[in-house]
Amino acid sequence: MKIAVTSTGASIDSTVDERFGRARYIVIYDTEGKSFETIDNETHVNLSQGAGIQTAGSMAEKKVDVVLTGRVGPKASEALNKAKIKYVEGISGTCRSAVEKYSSAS
Amino acid sequence: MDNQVIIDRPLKIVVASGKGGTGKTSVAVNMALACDRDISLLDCDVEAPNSHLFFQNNDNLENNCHDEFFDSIEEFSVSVPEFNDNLCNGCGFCKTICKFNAITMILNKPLFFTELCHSCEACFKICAMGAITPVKKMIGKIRRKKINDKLSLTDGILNVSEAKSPPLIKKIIKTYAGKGLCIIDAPPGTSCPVVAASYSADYAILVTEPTPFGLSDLKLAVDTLRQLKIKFGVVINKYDGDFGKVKKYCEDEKIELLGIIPFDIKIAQIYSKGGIIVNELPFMRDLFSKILEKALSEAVK
Repeated sequence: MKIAVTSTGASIDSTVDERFGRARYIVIYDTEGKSFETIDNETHVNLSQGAGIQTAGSMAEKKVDVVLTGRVGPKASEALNKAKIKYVEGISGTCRSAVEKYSSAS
Repeated sequence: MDNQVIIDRPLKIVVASGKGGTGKTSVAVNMALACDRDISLLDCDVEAPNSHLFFQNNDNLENNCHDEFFDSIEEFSVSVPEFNDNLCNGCGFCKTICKFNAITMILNKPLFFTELCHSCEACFKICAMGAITPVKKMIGKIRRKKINDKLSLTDGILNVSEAKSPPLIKKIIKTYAGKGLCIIDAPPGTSCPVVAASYSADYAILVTEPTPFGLSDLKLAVDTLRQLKIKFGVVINKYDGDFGKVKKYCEDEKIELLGIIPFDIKIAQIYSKGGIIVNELPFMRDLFSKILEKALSEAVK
């Protein structure tokens, strides 16, 4: 399973970025390989509009299963649903603790 | 009237302001009625058009749409793409070409968000598979009313929840500016709708008020017009004996002061009932007429 966490920094120990579409980085943790990769989301941070759906498109491209973030807007939500990607809102703290909590709960 | 500026070509005067509520509509409507000229008045504040309120009986304001006041109403549509997933090969060119990020690719198929679309039509043209076809989307209405032998009013009204007014504003100006003098009542602010209402104008009248907010937003409006290379002058409305820093700013920037409208309880009372200032206070007729003539003399220079 691939768990994506929106992040303020490039490391899994960085703080969660509570914005989805305009998150600075996205940390993707692979529970099978127990490895993580980081996507630089800079191109979407300053878009005048459509940041949420474009970031959702990136998640679909990376074949992510679930997104952990602060808040997903209505259009990004529609795009994630279309891509059959689950998401959990209200996440804060570090990306590592978010991933650990989600893994142990699921 | 004496010293009327002679107009021998189509001329558009836009009435704009950075700040809302400075008196754009009051200036536009009263100028149009103060002078003895054939005028096409275009209310391009399409999210909240209100010029018509000054020409109709306002005893019953229950229905704030007032379609019944107008002589004719036409629907206005833009083209938005419709996607046929069966023809799509998933190349993603439509997503790449879309400058408004209205298209994203999900599982190799485009997902489109109409509320982000600016109807630029680039995606129709880039698709080699013929998977994208234009469909009409009704976004508002254009309403017209002949006020008297000299004055016609056209306004646009954007549907509630529509976010993009520039296509409607451009259509109104392109179709109904006429061959003579046209006064455009612009929306407030300095963003795309204001640019759409102003970019083809020969001259802009910026209405401001002598307050810190008025000045701050006036500066933004001045920056916008300078970038658009449109000549402009300023009207100070609601002058109560103190110009604040507005007059000095105009002097420092060498901006033409077209007129000063006093802060007067009588004007406020007339306005609040949807009345016409130049009809109820005849001495104001000269002031509004002079503002327009001054603007016209600058415009034809």
